[in-house]
Amino acid sequence: MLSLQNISKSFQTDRIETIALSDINLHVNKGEFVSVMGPSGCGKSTLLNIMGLLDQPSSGEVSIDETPITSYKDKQITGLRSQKIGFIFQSFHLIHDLKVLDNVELPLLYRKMSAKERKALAITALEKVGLSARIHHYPTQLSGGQQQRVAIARAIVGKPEILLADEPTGNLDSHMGSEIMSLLESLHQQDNTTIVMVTHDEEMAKRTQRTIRVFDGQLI
Amino acid sequence: MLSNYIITAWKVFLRRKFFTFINLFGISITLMVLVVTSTIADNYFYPAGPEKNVDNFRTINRLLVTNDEENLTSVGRLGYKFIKDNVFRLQTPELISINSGTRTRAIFHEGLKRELLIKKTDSNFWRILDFDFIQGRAYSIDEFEAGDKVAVINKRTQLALFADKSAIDQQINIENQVFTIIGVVENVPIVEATALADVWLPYTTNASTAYQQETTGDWVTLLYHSNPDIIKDVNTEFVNLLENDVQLDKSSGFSIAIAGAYSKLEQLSRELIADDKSHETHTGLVISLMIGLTVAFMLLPSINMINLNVSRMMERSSEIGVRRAFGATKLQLLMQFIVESILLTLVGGIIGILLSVFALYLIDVKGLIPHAHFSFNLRVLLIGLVLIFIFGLVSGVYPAYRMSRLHPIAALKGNN
Amino acid sequence: MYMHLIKMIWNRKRANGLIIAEVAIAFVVIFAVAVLSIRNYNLMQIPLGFEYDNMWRLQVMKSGAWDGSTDGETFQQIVAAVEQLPEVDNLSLLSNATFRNWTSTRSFQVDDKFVFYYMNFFDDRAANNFDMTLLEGRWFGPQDSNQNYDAVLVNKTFVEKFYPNGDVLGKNIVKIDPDEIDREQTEQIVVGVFDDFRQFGELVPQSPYVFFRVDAEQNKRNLGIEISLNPNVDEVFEQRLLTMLRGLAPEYSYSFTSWANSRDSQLRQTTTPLAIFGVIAAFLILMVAMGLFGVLWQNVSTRTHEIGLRRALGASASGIHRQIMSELIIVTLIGVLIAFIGLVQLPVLGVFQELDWSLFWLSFIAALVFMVSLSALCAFYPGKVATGYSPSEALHYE
Repeated sequence: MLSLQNISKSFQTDRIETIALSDINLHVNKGEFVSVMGPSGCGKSTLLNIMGLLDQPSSGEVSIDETPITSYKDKQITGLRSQKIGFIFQSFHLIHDLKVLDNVELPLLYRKMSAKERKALAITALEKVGLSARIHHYPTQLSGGQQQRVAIARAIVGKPEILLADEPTGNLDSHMGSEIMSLLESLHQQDNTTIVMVTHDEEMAKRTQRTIRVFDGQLI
Repeated sequence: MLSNYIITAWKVFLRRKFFTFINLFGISITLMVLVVTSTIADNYFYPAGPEKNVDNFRTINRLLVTNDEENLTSVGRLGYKFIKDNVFRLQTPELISINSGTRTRAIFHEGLKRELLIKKTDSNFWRILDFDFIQGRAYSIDEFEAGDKVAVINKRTQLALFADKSAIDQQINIENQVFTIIGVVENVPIVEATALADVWLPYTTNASTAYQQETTGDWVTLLYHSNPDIIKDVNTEFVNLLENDVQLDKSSGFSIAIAGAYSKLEQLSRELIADDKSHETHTGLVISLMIGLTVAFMLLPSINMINLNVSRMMERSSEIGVRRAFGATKLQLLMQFIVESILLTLVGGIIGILLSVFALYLIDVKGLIPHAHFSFNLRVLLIGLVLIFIFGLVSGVYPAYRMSRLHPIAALKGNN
Repeated sequence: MYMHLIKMIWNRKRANGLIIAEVAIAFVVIFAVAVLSIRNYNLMQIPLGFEYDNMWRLQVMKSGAWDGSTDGETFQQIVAAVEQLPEVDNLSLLSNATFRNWTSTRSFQVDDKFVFYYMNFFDDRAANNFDMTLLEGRWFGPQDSNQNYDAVLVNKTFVEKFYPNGDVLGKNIVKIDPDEIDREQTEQIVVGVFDDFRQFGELVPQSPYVFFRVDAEQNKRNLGIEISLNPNVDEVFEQRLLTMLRGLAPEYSYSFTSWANSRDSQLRQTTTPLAIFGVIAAFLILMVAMGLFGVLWQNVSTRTHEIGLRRALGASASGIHRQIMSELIIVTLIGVLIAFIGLVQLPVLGVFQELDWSLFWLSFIAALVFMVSLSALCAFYPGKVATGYSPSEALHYE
């Protein structure tokens, strides 16, 4: 499904070159639920960004469905992101100026689709996360857990093959965090969605199929 | 896609009412000032009143005469003798009209004093300029030559003097002469200075004929040809004639005459810049000056809008990050923000145009400027729309460009 | 603290650069308004030097050249006839009309400087008729007739400019012009100094001004007949007067205008463009104020994190408020400084003669106070909003 071969990433700041990832090899199978753990600053977010094609590695090759995409242009990468990948962020990143429904529809805007279809898909996604009653609310009118559920609905509305979640429970209390986790588990089981989740929480990590540990830019 | 941009933009505007209000206020006021000034300019350059056939005539309204040593100089309107001796030798025009500058005269009607602008003309004046007669007619060449005491008045004067009664065949006493009114015309806008007056009289009714000996005096000349392409060359012929074969009264001591037969733009730039001692009209300079002023005026509102839009979009950096992550291309984001600002400018523009119509109504109907009579037309509307579009682009493109270039990760972290 | 603020401003230079540009341009507009208002206000304060209430000018007009002998004769008759009217309190002759831009000037070079004075002509009764103020010497009188010199009256500005030591009575002003020193010309002897005669109205700066004498009995020229009317004369008088004149001398035309009317129309002519500029400037400044307010508000809401951190680290609410306001004021001052560098060129290069250093500084300070108050006002509310964030709330905000 998704594989990283010999991935390295370094950042060039004023004088020093910081190495975030070095020589990473990783393969995520279709339908897997993987968690990524590691201390702060170990490079796990960078790893996730590279998997999500938001960032390019300094060296190495990223393949999706056995196709290497390293030589793709920005437009092609954007297309892939739009078709195959869904994102969930720690701080939700909902657009405050848009209602819940519009927020969920957003990924579909960048595909050729009629307004009717978009609305239908968005409502289905919201039903899945149990928020179909809140479609005309603004994000600020919702609790943190509800906001994250909207964000999950947005991530799954385009039926991505892989869902990337960057500490989805990091901003929530343990009760709400657990709810979100259950939601992800049911998505995984019902739709056979591939999920890669970065987390700090051992409890959460235990509920996934496989845990990858990153330390100082390397897998251990 | 476009309809999505528009719907999103609309939702953003409604959510951010204060931001939207500031932007709309800036755009509409800026546009109002620009539209009102362009309406005045448009009415000057493309008259809607009697001067509407502006391409068919040229005006000579200023003359400088001097002697060889250039220590005796006289500047002013033209003298009658000068016109007869020189202007009437021109081959190009089909028609030549002599008419006086306007003078304010007090007349007393039914015990009340009225100040009226009086202009004295010949009969060609009515053939060259295209007056709209509400009632009656202009004076003919026969009446003019016979010195008949007849007058044409404008609508404003008719209303002031006779209210709703017909003015035709009524009598009016001007400087102790009694004139019979034979025609009523529409009011002339103030920007059509060549035609402007309240009352027009044949100059053959002047009490004295002393004016016929003057070199400089109070006369204006109109040169007319039915083909605009022909009349535009009349200035060359006129300047040539003045340089090579000018006829000036020997006793006056003058030997050099400088004047020109000008279009409206040339008249304006002569008034603004050129000195009387040369034929140079500096129209290019005047046009660039007008453009420069417009740009200078638009500078502040534009920077203001750019500023607002930049800080506004910085606030939305998380939105940009999300959109990028979920598959929006840079171009799509650029388009989204440009559509947003153009839409906003468009709404502001429509308000601005409504405001201008209101302002023009105040100026015109409410008499903020006497004799204004400005008409708002399609051309000005078009200029207004172009200005709106430029304004929206200028104020939207730079912020949109900056935002679309934000790296998605940086945008999501919110550090800009 | 201020170094810290300046560092912050520098780090956000791209966003602040635009605000600085906006402030600089807005400041130029405010400065222009200040210069025009202060200048015109100052000019309005200076007395005109004459009274215009109940004063009227009767102008005789002839198409064609004025003939001194025949027309001059009739003119004398007209003056005599008008003087007889019971409504006429006083009457005198004046060449260039008040509140009109009719001028006679004499200009010449002294050293490298180009200097000039305005000239006008009036008769012996005029100074009294116009209620002018004499500072030194005497007005014109019959003793000035048939002399081998021309008597002249000069105003205070003339004395300050050409006779700085003040000793002017009895001087021959022809000799101010260096070209005339060796030439034989009728002497023009100063017999008196008057306060002023601001012929062009309140909004035109004072200039050197010289009156020459007209001998009313000998006059053959076409001058304005300035009439002081009885205050309770009705409007019909004008019609009666004009009818009488047309009966007396029908070959001429006449205009009869009150000084107050001429003053009104002249004031309107000068103030209309100023008013238009003022209205446009007010809109521009309002726009800028709202713009600054909006930018700052958005700034504050995007910087909640920083503000929360500062609060957590011990900054007081009023400290934050002060910080937000100081930031904008420093940015404003930088914008003003940039505008200043441009504007100061005007008096340095002497672009506008009217804009001297005292007017420049006064206007600059007025504009500065206005601009700084404006930005403080714009920053007040957003600053207040910022202090409303509690530290924990601000830190948790996204």
